[in-house]
Amino acid sequence: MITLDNDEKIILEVRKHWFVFWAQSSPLVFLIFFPFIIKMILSVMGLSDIVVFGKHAQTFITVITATWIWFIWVAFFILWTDYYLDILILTNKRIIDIEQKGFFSREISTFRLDRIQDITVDVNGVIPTFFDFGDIHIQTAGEVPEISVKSIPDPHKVREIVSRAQDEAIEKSRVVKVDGTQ
Amino acid sequence: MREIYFMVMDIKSFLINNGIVKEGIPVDFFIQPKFLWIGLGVVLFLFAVVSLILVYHWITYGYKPLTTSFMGAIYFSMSFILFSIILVTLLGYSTMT
Repeated sequence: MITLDNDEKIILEVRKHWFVFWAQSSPLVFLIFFPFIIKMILSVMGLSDIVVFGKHAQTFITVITATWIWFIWVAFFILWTDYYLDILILTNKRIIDIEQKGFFSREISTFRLDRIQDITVDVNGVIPTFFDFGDIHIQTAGEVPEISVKSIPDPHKVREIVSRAQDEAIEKSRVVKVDGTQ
Repeated sequence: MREIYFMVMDIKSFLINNGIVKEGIPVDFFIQPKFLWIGLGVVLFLFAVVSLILVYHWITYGYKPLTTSFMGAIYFSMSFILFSIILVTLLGYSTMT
């Protein structure tokens, strides 16, 4: 969980585009149906007439098939968790980039909005152009010189929102300095 | 695809016509139920470990409890159904032997 300051509000939460998750998980959909596809192919080709499985063999095949599907089911949720926990959070004060790498590695980069120097958007390829997703590179003056978030949906709009939030943050800090309240 | 189908049918006809393979060959194999129960135990153990890690991540790092609860419910429901299928099949297998 992310701990926010009292006066800090979340403006935007962005995850990778759904297409990226779909591309990662679609082989599992094929694998889950793999035993049935094999059975169907054998049946269509008439090869299932040659071998007739007995009761024990059929039971064994059922157990193996169910276990196979169960494994793939778990693998799907491992992928989903990895996808779900990767997130870019924009607040009115800072940007938080969280990258989940497998189960036991997690990288969190945080920097203030007024530290942003440049934002670059990179949409590269037919599919990213068609589905409107791409990478966003944010250069900062902080310890982390650049963070890159890959395959986010609508990256141009995200850049605009980040820029606007940055302007507001800078404006707010100027007002505070002129007032001399802080 | 059509060519492959005809090729397979030709091979099948050749094998059957020449008596190399007969139609309706019964195939059955018997495995001691205790080995299958051990296998189920191993699968259950692996499932428990992975599920524990997943639930830990959902609780600790999940941003919206509603989303993670919903996905968790789907995950455990389907897992329960699959486990039940395996369990019932194995019980039937054990009584069969």
